[in-house]
Amino acid sequence: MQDISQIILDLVQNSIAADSTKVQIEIKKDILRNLLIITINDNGKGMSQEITKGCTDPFYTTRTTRSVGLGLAFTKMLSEQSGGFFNIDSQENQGTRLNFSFLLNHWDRPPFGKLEDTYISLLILNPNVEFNISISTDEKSFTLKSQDVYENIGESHVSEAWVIEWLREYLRENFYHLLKEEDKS
Amino acid sequence: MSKIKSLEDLRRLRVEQERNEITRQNTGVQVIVGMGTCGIAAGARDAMLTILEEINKRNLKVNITQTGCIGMCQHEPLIDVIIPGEDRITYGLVTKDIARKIVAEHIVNNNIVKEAVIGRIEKQ
Repeated sequence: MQDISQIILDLVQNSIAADSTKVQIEIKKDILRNLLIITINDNGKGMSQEITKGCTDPFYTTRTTRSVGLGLAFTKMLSEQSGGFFNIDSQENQGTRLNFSFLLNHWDRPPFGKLEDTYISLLILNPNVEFNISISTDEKSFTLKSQDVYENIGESHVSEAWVIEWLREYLRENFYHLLKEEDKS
Repeated sequence: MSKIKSLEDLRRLRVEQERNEITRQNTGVQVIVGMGTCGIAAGARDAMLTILEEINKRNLKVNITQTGCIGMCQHEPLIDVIIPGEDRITYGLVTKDIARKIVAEHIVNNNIVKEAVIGRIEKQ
């Protein structure tokens, strides 16, 4: 994983695999505490306590076909390596809440990457799931609910060029306005 | 800093769009993108968005869906193309260039991009 946008995409794929219908992504840039906090909340089928405990072990998996499952282990390693924390909370049949952070100015903190592409990919590939994203700093915040997008474009059409172009522009301006970073690519 | 757009702009765009409504050609083609951890790390998102961009340029109606890791992580990003009545083709190591080729050659002209094929399932 090269950047935070890909990590988020990967973790949200877990939520989708757990039959979530609503996923909330929060990115908080806490300048005072020098932390970048990311929270992913879903209403999927959740995990038992035992699985929750084991799921960040790189050799643990619930899959029966092959024994791999690296997404969570990888994120945990990256965040702890960057001076942050990693928490996972899960209730069976209620959902899962992931909460992890990086030190903002740490060498090993990955760059943000193309967050707008992550959001657009999620919308296009999962039209039946609601994705809300919010980015906040100490002073400002920005929130986008997929419901609002759908209401404004009418029925489906998400994958049409004019919607994607608009979304990309809209997200990019709002995201980078808040995150202000060198990697504006 | 340029001005930040709002959701109202989107509604306005929609009205505009409806005015010059373009009917999309329905091709019945299905594209499946591998979106496991391995796929994402290898750049599946960019490959997917490139394909979508090319499809939109040509006004085609193609159904894009996702799948998880299928166990060929070393060949990611993996993309499957299913054209009704044809063999199902799996492409591996799909870069942006190959993604563009897949749309132009395979989906539009029905010529398989041979150099990127890693699997083929005979039509039933």
